[in-house]
Amino acid sequence: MATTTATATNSTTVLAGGGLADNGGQLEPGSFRDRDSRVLLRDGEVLRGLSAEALADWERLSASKLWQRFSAAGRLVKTEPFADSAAVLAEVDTPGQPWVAVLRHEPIPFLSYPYEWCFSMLRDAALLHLELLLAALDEDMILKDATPFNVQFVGTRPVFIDIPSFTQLKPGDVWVGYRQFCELLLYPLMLTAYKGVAFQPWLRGSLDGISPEQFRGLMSWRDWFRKGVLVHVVLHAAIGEQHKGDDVDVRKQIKQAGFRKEMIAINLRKLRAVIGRMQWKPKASTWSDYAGDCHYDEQRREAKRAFVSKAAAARPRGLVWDLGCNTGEYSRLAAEHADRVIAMDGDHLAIERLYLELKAEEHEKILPLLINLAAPTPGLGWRGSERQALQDRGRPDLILALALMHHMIIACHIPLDDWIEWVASLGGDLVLEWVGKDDPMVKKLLRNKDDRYADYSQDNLERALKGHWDIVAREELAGGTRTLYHGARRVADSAAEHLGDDS
Amino acid sequence: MSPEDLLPASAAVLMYLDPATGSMLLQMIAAGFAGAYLFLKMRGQRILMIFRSSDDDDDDEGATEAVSDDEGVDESGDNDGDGDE
Repeated sequence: MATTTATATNSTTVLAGGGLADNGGQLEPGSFRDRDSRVLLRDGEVLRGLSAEALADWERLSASKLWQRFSAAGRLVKTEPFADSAAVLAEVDTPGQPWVAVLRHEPIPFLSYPYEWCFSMLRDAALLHLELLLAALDEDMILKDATPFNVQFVGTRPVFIDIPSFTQLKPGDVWVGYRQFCELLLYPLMLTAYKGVAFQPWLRGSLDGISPEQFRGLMSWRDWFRKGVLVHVVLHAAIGEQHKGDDVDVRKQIKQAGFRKEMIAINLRKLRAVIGRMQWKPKASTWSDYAGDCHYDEQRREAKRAFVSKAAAARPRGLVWDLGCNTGEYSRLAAEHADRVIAMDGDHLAIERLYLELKAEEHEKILPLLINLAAPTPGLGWRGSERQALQDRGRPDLILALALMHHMIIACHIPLDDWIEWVASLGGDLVLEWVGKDDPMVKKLLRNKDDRYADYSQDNLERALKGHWDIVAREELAGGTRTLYHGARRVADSAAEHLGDDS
Repeated sequence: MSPEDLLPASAAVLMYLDPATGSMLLQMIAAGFAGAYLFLKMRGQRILMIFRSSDDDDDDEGATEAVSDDEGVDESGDNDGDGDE
């Protein structure tokens, strides 16, 4: 089974890539920023080396009320001291940095990044940050940074994973993460809520987010009157400009002026009010397109549901990817037979709606993600491995690709053989729905185009499928324009792939 | 030749700027009246300079000094930004 045990680490995430430690453990390539801790993957466990300073912070945190409260609610990643720390300390030898203790984190089932989240996911991550900060202030602690990469989702439950980010707050200290909070959480949310512009391409293009100076340029005079804009954007950028050449220790100045933690709390509560009221209001006409799967009559829909259920139930499934999940109807069916389902769609509205539905149900098996399947998330950041590519975060045991392929081949111009090769490269069984050129939806796609898609034929599809899967079930749906396939991954193929993964 | 030698002087300076200074100061403004008061106390002179005309220079300076004295802020001179003006 190709399930993954990934986790995320400080300011980021775990899994593939990264240098090997001496005895076979693997340093997490995205956990390098904090010099006081480093994540190591070893024997399927997610471990973290701590410096003496980070150990003191951990001891303070683990003895706090905040830790008890948020751990019990599943909002802080489960963490405990690692018993066999001596062996690990011998492995993680970082020049100039003596590690003194090791923690063990519970792995996150499947990593995701803010540029794959819908609006409400980013908003929930921001609100979790603010709640943690407010609770931390009560016990004279604060978070060193404020990045959404420190949050992961287990289903629809946001979990804060960067445990060493909690540190002591000394009298007069400012909230050093404030700027980062604006750049990576507040401004992206404002961009979508106030301007109707998707934040995901901005965050995918700039892992550091949007600077106050840049974001001010996006605000019109009218926007100055929206909640939070005048202070957190306009004044923020103006003061930054005015003081950018300062050669003074401003933190010392602020402390000496009498700054107090209560002032941080006021700012946090105001931000919570601003973000709590933010709404993304998509056009009603667009929403209505998602009211239901209107392209099916009840008979065809039932046949399709039965086919998908049977295929999913053929054997226990660890991880299922539902490519082009739309309303998530089939993700839900698959979830009945799987540990986890990643429901992916390129439509922000579809993912937003699915997330809100699943969140209301406190569903933890299905993770909805906004993925452009014609350009799946690549590895990003330092050396291209700080943030992992989609396919490096865990391979599916089963892939659902229902009424998706005509979009990939005809709308996105990807050659059929090439697309099937990509799906096959993910591994796992496949349930695919073929939609023929005589189907009304394909006719719609071709309406204003010359049909130059000779490769888009059912014969060609079946030939390509048989190259990787044994077709164990095939069912033509009523109407004759659509056919469902259940392909079982050939054992030889699958074994060869795993060998390749291990090498 | 270092990368800085290839840049205009202004760009080379920018490489060393800490963008967080303004963000830390902004927190005082975002922290309600008490924080904004502290901010004005620290950096008020710079703001007042925008409005100050040549004939009331003396009054403004006197007012700023009075605020600093009242609050007992460090009078060593490194709290009011006079090194950076």
